[in-house]
Amino acid sequence: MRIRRDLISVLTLAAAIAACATQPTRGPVQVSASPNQAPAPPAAAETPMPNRPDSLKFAILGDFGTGSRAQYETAAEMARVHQRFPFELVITVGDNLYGSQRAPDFVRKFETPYKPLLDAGVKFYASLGNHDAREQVRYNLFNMDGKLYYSFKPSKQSARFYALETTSLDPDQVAWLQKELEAGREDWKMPYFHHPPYSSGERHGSQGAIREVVEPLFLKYNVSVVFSGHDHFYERIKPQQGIVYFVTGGGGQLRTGNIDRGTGLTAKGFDTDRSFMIAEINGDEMYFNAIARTGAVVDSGMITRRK
Amino acid sequence: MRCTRTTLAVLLLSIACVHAQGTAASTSDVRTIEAFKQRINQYALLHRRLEAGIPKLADDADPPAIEQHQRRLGQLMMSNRKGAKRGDVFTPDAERLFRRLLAQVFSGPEGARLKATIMDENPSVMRLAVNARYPEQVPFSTMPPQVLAMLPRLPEEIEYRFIGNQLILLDIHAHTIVDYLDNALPK
Repeated sequence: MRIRRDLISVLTLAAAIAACATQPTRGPVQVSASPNQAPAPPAAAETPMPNRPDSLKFAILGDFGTGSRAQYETAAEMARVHQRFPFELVITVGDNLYGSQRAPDFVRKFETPYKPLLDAGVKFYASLGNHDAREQVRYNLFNMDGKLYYSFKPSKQSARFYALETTSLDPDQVAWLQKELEAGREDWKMPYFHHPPYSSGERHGSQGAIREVVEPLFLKYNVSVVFSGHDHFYERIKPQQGIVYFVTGGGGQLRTGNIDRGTGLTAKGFDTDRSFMIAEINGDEMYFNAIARTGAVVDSGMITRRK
Repeated sequence: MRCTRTTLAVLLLSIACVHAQGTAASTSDVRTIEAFKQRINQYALLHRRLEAGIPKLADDADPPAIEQHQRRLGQLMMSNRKGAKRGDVFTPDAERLFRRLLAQVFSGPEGARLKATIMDENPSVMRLAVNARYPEQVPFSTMPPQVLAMLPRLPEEIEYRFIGNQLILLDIHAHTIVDYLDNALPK
């Protein structure tokens, strides 16, 4: 009988999630940015970050822990940006360490390149990708508190981040996500995780199996932006049912020319160098910049949250 | 009241789905699943007992402490399961049932897509051993929620992964392979 109960509970959850999808969604997100779909040169008319004193400033980094020169140079650019735009935290969208993950690897692939940021008190809040050993959840500098998935509220603005573990999105995690999103009273609910629900990557592309499960919850609980990685480039997806999805998987790895321009998903893409993102939330607005290793701003814009 | 009615409706729909899809468990399936759960729970109990005997790993540990803890636990598990061999957890009955459950998932309309998700960055062939450390250079396969939903739930110390077409039970604290099932993905 227990197997039958298990099946019933799983199907109950699936049906509940499907039911969520049929509920009317709230207003679409407003994105103000260049609609250019061509490979992005440095943006001609970039949207500057307001850099207000009381705003929430953060960075987004993915697929970075290679220990390569390119990772170090990208990390150095992050540190330079931090001097003029003092983000208080970094969320990582997984693949924090590639290959061996013994103690010296944490130093070479994370602590050394990001030392200027760590020394400046910037906190990293990690999510795990398919290259990450599960025990990273215990690593003090990833601030995961021993949990594969968790949420946290930053000190400024009405915002909450939800770190998911999408390499093993089991029914318990989905139930947790639903409960957390439902309980969240913040204006900005921002899930971040490794596998992109939407992506134009020729190597991986949109992860439909993940999307089917999480998107109905994002719609129901008024999520406006989602961050992921896995594909090794930067891409801003055209709003999907009112939600803006970012792929930011070029923090150390890069798949040059991997964005398939034929998907029709790309609002802006950059796949010719490493990159990371910075973002700033103030009230109902979120400003963002995608920045290349060279310091060039390759995408920028402003998102007004769904209400 | 409305919520209760909705929940009930969803539940009824789910029950209907179970029968419509023919996934309702037979008595022998239930027995097989229960026996599998018993074996994996026994493993988890041993894991917890041994882990309790070594210094507790903090939730905000440094990398040397993490590695030391992982290896110490792995060695303890190995020495306490010296005679462990493939098939101890995935017994022949369990093997048959898991293959059948997985075949159901992968023969559906989404089967090809789910399989592609699992095989993404997944090595095609790899020699595995019970109690061995998870191969260091091999990324973790993505386990689609639709697949996990079909399999018995595991204790929190253990998770399902694929290496090639082999389904493994991974001890995530010790980073070791508990058992594995060959040819788990239908061709």
